[in-house]
Formats: sequence, C-alpha cells, structure tokens
Amino acid sequence: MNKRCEHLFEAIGLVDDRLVEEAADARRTATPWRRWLPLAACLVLVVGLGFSSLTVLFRGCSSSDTAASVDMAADTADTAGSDTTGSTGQNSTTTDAADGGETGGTADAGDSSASPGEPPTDGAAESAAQETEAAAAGYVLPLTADADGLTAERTVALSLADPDGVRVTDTYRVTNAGEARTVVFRYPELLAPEAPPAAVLVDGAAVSTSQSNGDWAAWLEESGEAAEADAGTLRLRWTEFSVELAAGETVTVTVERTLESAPEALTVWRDAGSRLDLAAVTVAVDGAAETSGLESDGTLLEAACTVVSAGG
Amino acid sequence: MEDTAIIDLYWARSERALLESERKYGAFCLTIASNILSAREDAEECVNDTWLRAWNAIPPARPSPLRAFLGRITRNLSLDRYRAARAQKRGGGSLEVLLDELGQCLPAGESVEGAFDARETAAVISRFLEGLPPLQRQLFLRRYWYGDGIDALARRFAMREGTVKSGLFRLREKLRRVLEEEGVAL
Repeated sequence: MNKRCEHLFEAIGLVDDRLVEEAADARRTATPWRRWLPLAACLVLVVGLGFSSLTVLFRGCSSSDTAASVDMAADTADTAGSDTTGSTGQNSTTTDAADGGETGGTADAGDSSASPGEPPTDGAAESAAQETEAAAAGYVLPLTADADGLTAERTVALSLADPDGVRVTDTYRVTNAGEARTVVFRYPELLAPEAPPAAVLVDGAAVSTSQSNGDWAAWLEESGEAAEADAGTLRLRWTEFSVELAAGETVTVTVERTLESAPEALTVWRDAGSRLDLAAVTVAVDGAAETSGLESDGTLLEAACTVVSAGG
Repeated sequence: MEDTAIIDLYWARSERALLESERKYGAFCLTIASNILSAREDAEECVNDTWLRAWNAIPPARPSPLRAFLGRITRNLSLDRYRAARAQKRGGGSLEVLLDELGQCLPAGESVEGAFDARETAAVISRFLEGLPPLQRQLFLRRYWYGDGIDALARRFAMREGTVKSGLFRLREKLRRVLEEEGVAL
C-alpha cells in the first residue's frame, strides 16, 4: 500500500503548474464575522450546560431539592481544545465548546501520535464536523446596530424546560444617547437553514424583520458543500429591523427564538462585535441568574459564576 | 531578478543562475523539503541538489513558471530521499503521515504491476482539482503538494484545525471516488 501511496504522491507532484502556482500564494483572511470571533474570545462568557446533565436537572426540578451549578468559564474560541466543564450535582460533563472539530480527523504532520497508519473513519470526520456544528448551534450572539451612541443592558433568558426546545429570550434595554434617528438593528444567529426566523418585539410590540444569510461556516459556503450538506448545516443568519428612536429615548428590544434541537452547550457571547455599549449583561437560566457587569476595559469576566437552578 | 532573466542565465551557462535561484527561491524550496523530510540537513541537501538538477535541465527546458518547476524538483528529490531513508530504516519523517493520509484516496482493488502511469494519473487529478472551488483546491495542494502541516494550513486559510482536517478528509474521499470512476491504476 505504501508504494501505491507514493505513486499517488508522485502523481500529485505532476499536476498542472497553474494549479501549483495558484496554491503557492494562496491565503485567506478571516471574514469580518470570523475576524471578530477570536477577538471576542476575550469577552466571551461560556455557559457550559451539559445537556444530559440539564435533562437530569430539569427533570429533577420537579423534586424540590435538586440543585445544579453551571460553571461559566472563559472560552478561548479559536484555541483548540478549550474545554468548558459544567457540573451538575454529582454528575460532571465536559464539552468542547470552542472547537469540536479536534476530535477525529486526520493526523497532523507534526503529530506522530495522530494515528498514522489508521486513516480516520467516516464516522470520525463526520463526528468532528458535527461537533463543530453542535457547538455553534448553542451560540447566543449579541444584537448589533448600525450606529454608535447606543447604550444597552442585556438580559439573556434561557428556558431549558420548554417542551418545544431551548427557548432563548435576548432582551436589550436600549437608550439612545444621541439625537433622534432611525437605527437599524441586526441580530445574528447560527442555525439550520430551515429554522424559523427569530421574533422581534420592541416595547412588547412585534416589528417586521427581514433575514439575510451571512458567511458562517466559510468552508462550507465557499466550497459549495453547503448545498450538499444536510439540514444540520448551520448558517449565519441576520435578522434585520429598524427602530425610530427619539433623543434620550429608551426602548426594550426583545429577540425570541427556540432552538428546536437542543445543543449540548449554550455559549453566550457577551458583546462580541456589537456596536451597542453594553453596560451590563445578565444570563438567566430558567429564572435563576447571576448578574455580572462587564469589566470596564472589556476584559473577560473571569470568575466562574454559579447559576443555581430553579430547584435550588 | 525576473524569472526570465534567471532562465537566461541558465541558458548562458552562467553560474550566477544558481545563486539567483537560491536567492529567490531558496526559502520556498527549503519549506517544501522541510515539510517532507524530518532532518534539516536532508532538506538542505535536497535544495542544493535542486539547483544542480535545474542546471542540467535548463537548457533545453525553459520552464514557466520557474517557481513551480524548482519546487517540483525539490519535491521529487525529497521523495527520493525519503525512499532512501526508508530503505535504510531511518524513518521518513513527515511524509509518512502524508502518505498515510493519501492511502484513503486509493481506489479499491490491488495494483497491477507496471500499470501505473504518473502523468495519466496527474491529468486525472488536475481535472479533479480544477473542478473544485478554489479554497478546496488550494487546501488540497498546500497539504499534498507543498506538504504543509495542519496547523500551518489553519493559519494560512483562517480556519480551525478541525475544519481543515474534516475538509481534507472530504477531499480525499472525493478524490478516491474520482480515481475509481476513472479506473486509475496505482
């Protein structure tokens, strides 16, 4: 077999010069979306929620003495192998929220331990892709706007006990510090293409929105494999809407959506890429919350915050 | 110096051609050799031999692009060096891993002795690559032509390593299907 592999390697060496030249200087810069994701790593708070643990947790909520703790930990985003550990009672689950793609796959050139002689199985690579998608499925990204001078307090309420799926209610109390104007807001979601659009309420009233697709999963998008991929493929979708704001006016913007296929972990991106000046972010899980203000310099809020379940 | 000027030096049998080649493409070729061979000195020797091989090939050749031409020589020399090292049971370095991955692309069935035609297979692979979106094509070639590591690919293409790995996995599967459909003997 090795000789056949060498033949193939040799044949690859003879491919068209034009293709070789094209690849010589090939380089890709991160898309705007991907560019700020790593940057946002410093501002990210991960709500590691082991799904299986949560299932146990919320089943257990019916009994009065079930308590759970969910660690919020730093997410190193593009740094592979960053683990977030969520612990629930006596159970402990670990999910790789940052890069599920590290599991399986093929051997690295410099990684002699990466199973040389044992090409990955279909399952391994598919599993890697699925893990990446599964992690992304749990992203709760922040609202952004087309203008500066807006301050906001954000409250993310996660309802895990909803029978229809994980319900995410992302609420912003936005104050217009500038003059009267029309502000265009955009809310990003990573979701399966067929997922219904998020509902947007401004001061409790539904507003009309429009959706457009972004370039999440750039690999899939550019490779054209997005079309081949199954319904599990995630895309970045922007839900856009505009709001008339008077000078000094405060409105409450609420974005509601339901994650029908519950992810293994939910990752709340605090203010990554948002132009809103977020004065405070609260994450609430089924009504119980730990509120933490952002550090003034925008650095990561390091301390793990313990969220006690409704049952606790 | 422009490639055409360097080639003119080769044609004029000026030894400056070797110096200019090394100055312009020494690092390029060394990267390729280093990606394939684990020993630095082996890689450097391959690069030095590259200029000699080019000296013998030009004239009559007038390669364009010169970079791909020199890179291919380095690659072939590195493969030869790998084979020699393997024969001496010294281990082949990084190429072992690349070959191992390429094993996934092999069409089913046993090889027929003498049936392999490198140029014919290369033509099939070229067509396969031309049919791919640029990013996939470049990723494949950076891995299997230039021998880039996964980490280097992730940096170059602004991807996660897991994405690179799963992307390469899919590409190898696609190539295997194409080679099978085309009845390529390896």
